[in-house]
Amino acid sequence: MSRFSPFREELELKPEEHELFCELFRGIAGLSLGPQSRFSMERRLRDRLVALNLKSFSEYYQVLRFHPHARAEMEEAIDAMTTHETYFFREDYQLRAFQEELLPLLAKEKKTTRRLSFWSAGCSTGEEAYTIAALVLASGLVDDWDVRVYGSDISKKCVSFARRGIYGKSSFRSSIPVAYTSYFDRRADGDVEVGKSIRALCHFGQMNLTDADKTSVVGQVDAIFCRNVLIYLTDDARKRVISTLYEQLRPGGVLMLGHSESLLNVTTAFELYHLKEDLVYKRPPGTP
Amino acid sequence: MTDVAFIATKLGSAEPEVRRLAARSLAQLDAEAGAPLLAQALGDSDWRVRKEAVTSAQTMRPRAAVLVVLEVLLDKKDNIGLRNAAVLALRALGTDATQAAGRAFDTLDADGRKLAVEVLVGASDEGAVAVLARALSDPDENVRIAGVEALAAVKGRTATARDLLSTLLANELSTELRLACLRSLDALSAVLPMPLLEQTLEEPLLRAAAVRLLRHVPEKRAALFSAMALKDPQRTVVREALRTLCHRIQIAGVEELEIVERTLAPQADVLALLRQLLLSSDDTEVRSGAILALSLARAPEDASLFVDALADDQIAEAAERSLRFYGQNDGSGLLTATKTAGPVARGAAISMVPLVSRDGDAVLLLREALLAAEPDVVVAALRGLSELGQAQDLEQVRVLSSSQNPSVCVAASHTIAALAELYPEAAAAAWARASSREDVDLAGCVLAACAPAVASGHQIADAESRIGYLVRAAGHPEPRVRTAAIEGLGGFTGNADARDAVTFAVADEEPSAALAAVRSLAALGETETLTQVLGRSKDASLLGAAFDALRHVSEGQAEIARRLLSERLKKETDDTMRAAISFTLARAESDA
Ligand SMILES: C[S@@+](CC[C@H](N)C(=O)[O-])C[C@H]1O[C@@H](n2cnc3c(N)ncnc32)[C@H](O)[C@@H]1O
Repeated sequence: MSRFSPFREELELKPEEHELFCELFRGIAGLSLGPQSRFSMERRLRDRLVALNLKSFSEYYQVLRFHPHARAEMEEAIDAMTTHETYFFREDYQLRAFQEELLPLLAKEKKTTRRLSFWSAGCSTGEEAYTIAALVLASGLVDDWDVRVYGSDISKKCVSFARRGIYGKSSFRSSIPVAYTSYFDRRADGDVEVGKSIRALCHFGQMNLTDADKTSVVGQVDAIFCRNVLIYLTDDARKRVISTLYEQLRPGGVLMLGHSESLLNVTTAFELYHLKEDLVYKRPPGTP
Repeated sequence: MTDVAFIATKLGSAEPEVRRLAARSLAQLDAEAGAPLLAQALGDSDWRVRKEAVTSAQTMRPRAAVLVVLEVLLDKKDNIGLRNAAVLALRALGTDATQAAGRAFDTLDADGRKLAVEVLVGASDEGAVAVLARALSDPDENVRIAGVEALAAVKGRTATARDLLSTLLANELSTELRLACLRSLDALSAVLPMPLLEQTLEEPLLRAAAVRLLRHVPEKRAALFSAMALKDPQRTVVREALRTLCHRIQIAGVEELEIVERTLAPQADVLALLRQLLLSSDDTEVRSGAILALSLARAPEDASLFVDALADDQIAEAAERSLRFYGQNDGSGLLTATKTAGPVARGAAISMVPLVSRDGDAVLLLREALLAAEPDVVVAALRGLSELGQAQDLEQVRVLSSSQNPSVCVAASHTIAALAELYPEAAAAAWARASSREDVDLAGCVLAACAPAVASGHQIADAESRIGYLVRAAGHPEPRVRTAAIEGLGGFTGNADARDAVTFAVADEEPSAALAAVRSLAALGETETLTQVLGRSKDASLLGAAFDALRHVSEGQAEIARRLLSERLKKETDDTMRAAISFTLARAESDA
């Protein structure tokens, strides 16, 4: 480290600086960051200041706003500010409902085109997308069909990681259910690599859900998983994301949110659809 | 105290800096009143004071009064510094000084006349050239020489100057004066008649300067004389001849090259000298001339000299030319030399192989170079093989396409594409091998993309499996593979899988892949998606690429694209995007 830069512990995010950053991240990614986020923000961004050899958060703010490489640095900042926690087979009751109740329904609706597509919106490092692919394949309902699972995240790093498809222990909260072990390969180093069959279905890309910039490239899909993403967003951003998701869902398609998330007070465009163990949102059939 | 008196006191100060400032303030004085002080300052013992006075003289008014003092000063025989300062001051007055200089020339002694001529250095008016013409027939040789030198610097009237000088050269007897003529003629880039130059070349003292003038002469015979000058016992002549050859060879035709070749070939001692100069001279032109001359002499032992010179930045260009001359006759000598060359030279030499030899030995050499440790060499060999390679080379090139070195990787994929075009069946077979392996790779993508296109009719690899392969490759963790796959998918118009994969690739986190997606969308005719990118993208380079793609689809699409961007510009609030959009639109306008 240069002799001019302060020790990293001395890099302090002042309340007024914190507000500036909050506004910036709210504008770019719709992140909802309250006053209580100051210390976590300080901790999350400190590494960037050290990496760029900056002396204060104000300087870093200037870099994010005006530097020629502001765009690339903003990606780093957003990456640091977002929570990427995820794992295979997360919220299994919902996945069961998807596989046992929704999938047969969707398959029936699409039996003439034999094409199904799914979107893991805010997929983080890809575990959710690969899980969906495994569930679909294991259902046995769509053998030889044309199946696609799109995974997207705002973080470049997460997307690249997802493409690699190699995971350590932390990506699994419990052992892989027996029915799915054949879709994964255990490597010599103990890591797990997703198998060719599910890898072939998954496509990853980088997208910011709060801005419809690229979201249309997924085309209209049959089901969207957008789980544990909306909780991090402001009301306004949430509304925008939901309307984007609505647009990218074919009429009759379903949207699955995380267990603590709902569309209450966000929109009435979706129909509630009751499954045995869960509740999902459906874009009403026949809507233009 | 008046200004004049005040400045006079200051000019009398013992302190040079005080005098300098006083000389500067002369500029504001009336020239009539200030004349004596100007003369005093121009004759100051300190050159900084004199220089300041020269500058002030340009501003003092009336100018006529200034000219009168300066003209008088030219005749102040006892103070050389003063006279020189007067010359400089007059020269700075430009055309206004011509009359004064003419009068001085007509009335003063030889020293004064010489100064009058010097006043006219850099002049451009007819009167000045007339005075200089008179100087050429002055009884005093020093005045004549000054006239010759002043003519070299004449502005605008160079044709007259050249005529005057070449007439003098033809009729003058003094060697020193003729030498001055040759130098001035060279400065004026004069083209002299060959007979006059030949006559001059006969005189040892004039030879170097005359050889220099050979570079401007159109006759091919000039090449013969330059080549012969290489045998001159005087080193200065040899060096000048090399510089001249260096110039002439850049533009020489075959015939002229043959003249040089014939003149040099049997001269072992001359060649030895050239080699020595090539290695030891500190003049780039001399070295370049030497290597070019050697390459025309075509001694077999020099091959490695040319190859090694490729690594020498100063003469690399001449070395490349030399290798071409040399290689036309002795390709195999060159090929052998590339093997022993240092790494930098070797890369450069390998890249020249297809230019000098296209036979089996050349191909073997390129193949061998593929195994080199230096990426430069490998890249050069790959480029060579893209021209000279055969079907059997596909396999080895394919291996290189997964190199960790990006330039090797890119060169390999180009070579694969080139070979696939030359050998469609072999390419299709190679593709079948690639696709039967579990993993997709860069080579496979390139082959899948281009082999079938050229092998149409061979029905070897079916389009479905090729598309499947490319779609899988479009998700490969390695960006290069994705980019190649996405590029390749652009070749399958009308196929929904290709379209979907390419469309989604617009969201690729790797810029090169996303840009490839935009290009492929255009190739597939997906104008609607491109329009969406144009309307929404927050990425300036994607936006630019989409705009260009649409512009090339049709005039109608171009118009839609322009309108869309103009609309967007009105609404856009982000400064960076506004700048990007304006730039893109402006670029389109300037293209149109
Ligand atoms: C906690 S993870 C959820 C991963 C996965 N869906 C799951 O439930 O396990 C949230 C992800 O949302 C992403 N994210 C946050 N804001 C986003 C935005 N505006 N656009 C796209 N992704 C966003 C984050 O980068 C992060 O990877």
